[in-house]
Amino acid sequence: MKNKLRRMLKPTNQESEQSQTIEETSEQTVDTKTANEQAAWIEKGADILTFEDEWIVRIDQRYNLADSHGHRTFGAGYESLQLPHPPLALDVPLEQIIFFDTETTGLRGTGTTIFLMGFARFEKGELLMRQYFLPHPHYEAAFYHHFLTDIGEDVRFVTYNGKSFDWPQIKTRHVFVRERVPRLPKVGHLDLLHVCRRIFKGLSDSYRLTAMEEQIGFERADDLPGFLAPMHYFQYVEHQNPSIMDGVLEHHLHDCLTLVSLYDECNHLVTHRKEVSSRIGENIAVWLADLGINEQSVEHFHQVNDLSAEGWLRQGLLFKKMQDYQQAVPCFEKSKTFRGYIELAKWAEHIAKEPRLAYDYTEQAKIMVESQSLLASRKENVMAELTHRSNRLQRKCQG
Amino acid sequence: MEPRQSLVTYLEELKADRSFMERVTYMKTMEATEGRYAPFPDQMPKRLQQAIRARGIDALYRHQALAFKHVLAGESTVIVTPTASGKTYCFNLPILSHLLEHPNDRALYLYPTKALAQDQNSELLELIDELEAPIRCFTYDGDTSPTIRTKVRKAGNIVITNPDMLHSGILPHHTKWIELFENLKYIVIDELHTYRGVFGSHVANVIRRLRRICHYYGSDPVFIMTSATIANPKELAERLIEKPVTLIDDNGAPTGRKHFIVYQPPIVNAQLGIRRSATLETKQLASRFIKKKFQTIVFARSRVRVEVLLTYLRSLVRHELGPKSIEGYRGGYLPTERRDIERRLRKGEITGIVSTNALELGVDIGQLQVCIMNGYPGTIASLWQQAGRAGRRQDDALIILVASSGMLDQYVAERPELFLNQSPEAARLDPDNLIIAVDHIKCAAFELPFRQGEAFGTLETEDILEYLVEERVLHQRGERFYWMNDAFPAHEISLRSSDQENVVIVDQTEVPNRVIGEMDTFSAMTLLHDEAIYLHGADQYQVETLDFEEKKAFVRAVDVDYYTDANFSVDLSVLEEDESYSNDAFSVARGDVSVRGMATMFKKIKFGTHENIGSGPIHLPEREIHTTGVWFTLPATSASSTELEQVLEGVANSLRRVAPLYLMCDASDVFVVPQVKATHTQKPTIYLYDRYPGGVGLASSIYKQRSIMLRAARDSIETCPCQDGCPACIGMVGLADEKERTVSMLTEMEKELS
Repeated sequence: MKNKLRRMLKPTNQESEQSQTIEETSEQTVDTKTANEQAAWIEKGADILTFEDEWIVRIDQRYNLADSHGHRTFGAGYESLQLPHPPLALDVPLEQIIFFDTETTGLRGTGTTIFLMGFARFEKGELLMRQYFLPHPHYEAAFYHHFLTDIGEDVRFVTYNGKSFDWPQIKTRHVFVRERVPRLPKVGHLDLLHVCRRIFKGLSDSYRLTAMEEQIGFERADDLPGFLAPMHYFQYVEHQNPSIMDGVLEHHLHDCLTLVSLYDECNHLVTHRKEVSSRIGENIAVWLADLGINEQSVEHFHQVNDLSAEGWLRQGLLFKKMQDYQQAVPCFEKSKTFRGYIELAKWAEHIAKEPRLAYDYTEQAKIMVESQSLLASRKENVMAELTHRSNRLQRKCQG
Repeated sequence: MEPRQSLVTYLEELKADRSFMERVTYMKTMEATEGRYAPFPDQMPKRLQQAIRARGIDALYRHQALAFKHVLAGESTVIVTPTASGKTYCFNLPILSHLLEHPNDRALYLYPTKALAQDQNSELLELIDELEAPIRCFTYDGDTSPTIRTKVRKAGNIVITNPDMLHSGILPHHTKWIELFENLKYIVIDELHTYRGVFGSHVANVIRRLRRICHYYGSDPVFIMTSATIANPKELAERLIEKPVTLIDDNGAPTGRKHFIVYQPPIVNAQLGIRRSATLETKQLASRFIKKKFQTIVFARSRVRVEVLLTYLRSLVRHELGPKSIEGYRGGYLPTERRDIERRLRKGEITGIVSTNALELGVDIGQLQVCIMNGYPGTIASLWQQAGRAGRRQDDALIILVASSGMLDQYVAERPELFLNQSPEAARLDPDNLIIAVDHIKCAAFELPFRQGEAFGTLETEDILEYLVEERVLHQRGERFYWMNDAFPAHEISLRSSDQENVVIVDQTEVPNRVIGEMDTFSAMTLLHDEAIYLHGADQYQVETLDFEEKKAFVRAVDVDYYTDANFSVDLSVLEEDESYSNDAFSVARGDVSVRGMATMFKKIKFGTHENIGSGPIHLPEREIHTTGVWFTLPATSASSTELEQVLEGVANSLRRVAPLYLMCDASDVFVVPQVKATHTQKPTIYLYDRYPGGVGLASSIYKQRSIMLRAARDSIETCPCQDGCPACIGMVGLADEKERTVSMLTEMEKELS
């Protein structure tokens, strides 16, 4: 049967050199193997936590607030968390905020196992870094029992793409053990991937976490690329040797710590505690405007020396929303975009009641549309709309 | 404009037309039959009865009432009835009855295609709307928007999907579907007969995975299946779901009057038994009906034929009816194009439609009056499905089978009783095909770890699990086998073809890189090679380059008067013999074979005359598959090798042509290779093998039915009107006593090997 399998499934037969490795360790009993495995972890400073007849590995490390990760200290992050800063707000006690990340055996689906998860959390004047490692896929009940018990029932996650990846995957795996472990807590979520995409828009081709480390001044030495983590885990499961996991554990630890510093960095930028480039300033202002945090958005706009055309337009729209036409009009003028001129035309027609001026602005807008490269269909629509507007205005002027 | 004539009067006119009747070799009118009814069952809630009454229905057909009873008794059921017999009520009524009383329960509907699923959804929604019941019904497929996906998962009482989506979109994410799996009471599998061969074998394994997950969540759903007429619906259903099944095949629906005609193109070469092209005849017949504005459907056997006929017909009636009144329909058209055509058919905006068997399935296109089959569609089940397209609503209908010169066509045309009286073919699938089963065991292990000794459906898993551990796909610890790989296995497995990826067809004519269709890689080797003429929507394209690595064919529109036809050559060896039988110097054996195939060259064939006007080489890599086959070994004779070769060819060709009649497969699913001195046996040998890697049960079917197939092959040659053998019977023009010698060889084989 196996020969048939091999022939059918692997036409280019590689000789089976693999089958030997499997038997070599089988002399040891399962018990001694487990004892050795656990001893090796304890030697590395880890704890073995048990649950029913399962066990997992937990590794704690504590950092002083004066320690740094990148160009600032954890103490800076600790302060940032306590500043009022609406878009990045986490209004719960510090012990309920965790900077969280996972490592998994694949990308998604039910069969993808989380084998390592952990978080950084400020407590008792320190930064606690805690990792949970699943030594065998069968021990997930222990894995989730201890993790869920530790984090409590009301918790805020700070993650990187955790909203659409890590958390759904936890939900998926939790189903398998849901009868034996605590329920999943209510979670608030701050996903720094979305924050970084807004703040650093246009400045980076990649928003991968390691790419963002440039912003916090952290550089990894000999980092294990994330995509290799599953291979290491598969090896561990076969050989049960903790040192196989060294690189993965370090990679994961850095991911969590980077989240702390990245949060701190974003917080500095949003709360004006750091000099920013025009680009970033404008990004933040626009982002805040989108979130409807108007006053803060205005402040950020004011601090930008060199707004882009789109930036002027957005600032104008913000003032318009706040019904401050006196400030909005010069912004639209500086924007020199067709949309800016359309806004001016609306203002002139409906607020200033000057149809002739409105007509001029509309014609200006038409010139801008003509010279711009837009999708053909969109261009057509916009032009039709403008022509309609200018016809109406013409009638108004005459009437 | 002349007033529209009724089909019945036009038929009388035709009967008086001598030139038409000369070619009709068979004509039968099947009288309308009365319906047989049963009252609404007591278990059917009053509001459902009212809703049905409001549609003008006061009683159920007998088969609907029977289905209702068995389903609610918790029996898995297969219902076999012809087109337009109200089969959807067979499952919708019991399921809605149940859901009205158990609003938390769920049902899953499986349709072979997305289009059919959409149809069913609209039908159900209408009924639910009339019921004013809080039953939620959704389709779930690749087109479902992410925003409503969550709603479908959490709240859909009825989820309508296809096996592919179940395989790669639902089962691997079963933890998101807890509400469905915990409360799943019914599973509907419509168009059961389509689940045969490779596709059926895959789907049987998907069902194994589905039942495994249901079991995990504590449900054990009842299956309700419906099928077109096949010989073994109960066997097929039980093979597919691996549970006992109750058969209901007592059709109570009334049928309209049908006129069935077999039409033989005139013989143009009496000596060779060659007839005029069936395509030309079909074209003329179709244009006759279309000009009279009878809504006509023409079925052609290949995509190429569809396009050829479409071009002909459009040019014929362009001035009278306008080009939009005739459309083509086949796989490879984009979904939006297809939906548009279906809609226009229902509204009667299209008078003529030329289709492959794509329209054989229950896509709702409304009633048509005339059905013309350009050649025997390959299986009797298909023939009836296609015929059912005409006269769905108790109307007179005309069905014409235009026989081609091909031997199978002639064989069937000579014996209309074969499909009129006799039960049709049996559908086969093989859920234990190793390659397929192993693929699905991987998926299943991804979904839930295997326990030692756990069976996968009826398949023992021990060896396979150990093999997967050795291959480092699974990890064994204690009694369990865990998925230990970073891949998402369902994405690497396609249920539809032996190849994982399709070749995308990219048009370069106007806008660069406009995708106009796709095709499986195996077909692409013979249809999309460099310089091939690819026909799409009656437009001709020439393939500029086929990038086989990247799976892209770049084409450009052309206007030429020919099409291309490719040669495919194979080399074959036996790997393992599983069983054999021998008598004297004859033997037959079944086992595993290795086949290396290669597209070698193509010919350019002129439209109309079918002349060969040129050729060219094809440079594509060889492909190797391992599959199952049957081989007949014959005694070495003193005859010259040319003579022997010719007899072997004759036997091989006749076997190939009758094979589909007994195996319910496409002619292209079984390959036949004769060898004068085979490497394996050192004797003259004829191999028949399954096109799909690993085989899907065709080989063992051939082995078992060899005597009846050998007899049919002989019979088909004997009854051919030619003198010494012709392309229609022995596959080539016979020399000397070749026809006779082929017949006696087949007679001997049958005698020795039965």
